[in-house]
Amino acid sequence: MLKECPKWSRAIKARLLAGDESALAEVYDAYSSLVFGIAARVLRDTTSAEDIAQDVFVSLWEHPDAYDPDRGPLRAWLSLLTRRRSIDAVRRDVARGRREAAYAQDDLILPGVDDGVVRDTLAKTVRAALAKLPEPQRVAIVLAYYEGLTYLQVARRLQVPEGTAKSRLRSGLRTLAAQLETVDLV
Amino acid sequence: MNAHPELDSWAVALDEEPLPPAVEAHLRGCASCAAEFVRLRAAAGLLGATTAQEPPARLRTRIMATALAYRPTRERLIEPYARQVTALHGLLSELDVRQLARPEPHYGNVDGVLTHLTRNDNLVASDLGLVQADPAAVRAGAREAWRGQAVSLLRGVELSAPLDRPVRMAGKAGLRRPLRDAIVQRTFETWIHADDIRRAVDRPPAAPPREDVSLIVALGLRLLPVAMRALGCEHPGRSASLRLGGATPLQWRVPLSMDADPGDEVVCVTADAVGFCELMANRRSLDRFVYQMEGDAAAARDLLRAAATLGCD
Repeated sequence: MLKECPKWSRAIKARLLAGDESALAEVYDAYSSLVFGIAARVLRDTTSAEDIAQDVFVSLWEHPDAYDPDRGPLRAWLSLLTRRRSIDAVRRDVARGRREAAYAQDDLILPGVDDGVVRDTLAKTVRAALAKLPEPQRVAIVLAYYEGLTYLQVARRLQVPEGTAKSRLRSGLRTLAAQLETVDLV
Repeated sequence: MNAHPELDSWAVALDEEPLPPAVEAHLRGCASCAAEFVRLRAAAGLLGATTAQEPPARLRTRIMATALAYRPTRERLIEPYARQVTALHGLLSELDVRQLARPEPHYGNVDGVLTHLTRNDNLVASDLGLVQADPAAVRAGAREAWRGQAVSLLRGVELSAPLDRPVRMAGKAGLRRPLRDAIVQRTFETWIHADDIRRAVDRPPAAPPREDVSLIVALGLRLLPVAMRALGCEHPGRSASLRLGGATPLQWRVPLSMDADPGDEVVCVTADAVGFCELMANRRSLDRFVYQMEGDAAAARDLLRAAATLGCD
């Protein structure tokens, strides 16, 4: 599925509310790679990523009302929830000293795997849109998205003034939305 | 856009769950920001697509099983209970007069077990306004009275009773919970008392199928924070993970207090799912309960201690 159709989002929510298990299976089949991929990237560990994916899908099934189709696609809801829970899990691990917060700088340019092995059309399209952002904006966004840094932390990490970090994040997301709009994804 | 700083602050933090109240309030009153919010959120949501990665195939099975155990569909609630009612009815019809009179340590004899079970089933049947077994009928024939009421309960749930409707649960705590939970408890108690009878007549115990056991475990885990509070052994801001089952165990995350935030996972307990149910039913003592654990031993002990109070005797 490329762009999520709002009719589908509403219908799927209604089916989840009615307790239709085939709706959960459908959401899982559409979005498990997305959810698992975000968690695996943030956590750098596929076992913990499976646990986060379970939390996310089970929580959608238990509380379908938490998702509001008026506020955008289910895809966005799932991915932002996955991101939040993954970041929280990393913070707990860091607090326990189990995980070193060591991120390679080159990861920040573009997250994830080689373009050569990205077979997923959607992933390719979004990566292309992300690649069109000015590098400072892209780095700021990737830091905030995958490491859950606040703009203050982004500023510190990149050694730029706070206002600059804030505006890079803000305009980065707007530019990205505009880019994705040109390819009819937003 | 700078005239609307609320949305800007969201675009910087990408926070959800819940949206900061200032942002929420602003979006309700400003249509252009609300539209922009949906657009930016869709874009932020798509960012994650760049790292899409196929999960292992087993994850689908595990997630579907866990989800359905936490919030079963109507069919998945009724079938396990129907299976236990059928099994107990079958067992009773095979017993002769001498076996019916055999001593049973908890309730005296078979009829004593059934009278107790019928009384607990009655909490749900009467809350739903269904055909009930009255005390005289139970005295006249415990087996028929139990079965008549159980069948009426099954039909009531099958036909129309809303699964979210609160009804009385059996057990010391005197809780009211959604019918969904009460039916799982009926399945659990019917199984446990059928095993009581099997033991009394020297037959081997018969555990329900794996998916039915998962439903029972999920119910127990939902009730666990309440039980920990009642025992005064909560561990606020902490949670445990429980791996229950055989070769492909299901994994459960359990908050160790009634706090809204499940918090930091401090211990992982691995055990047999049927054994865990027997512990909850008070048919297996904590000393005889075999488990492995990694992490905070006191938290594991308190969790199991609380689980052991969840029975319906």
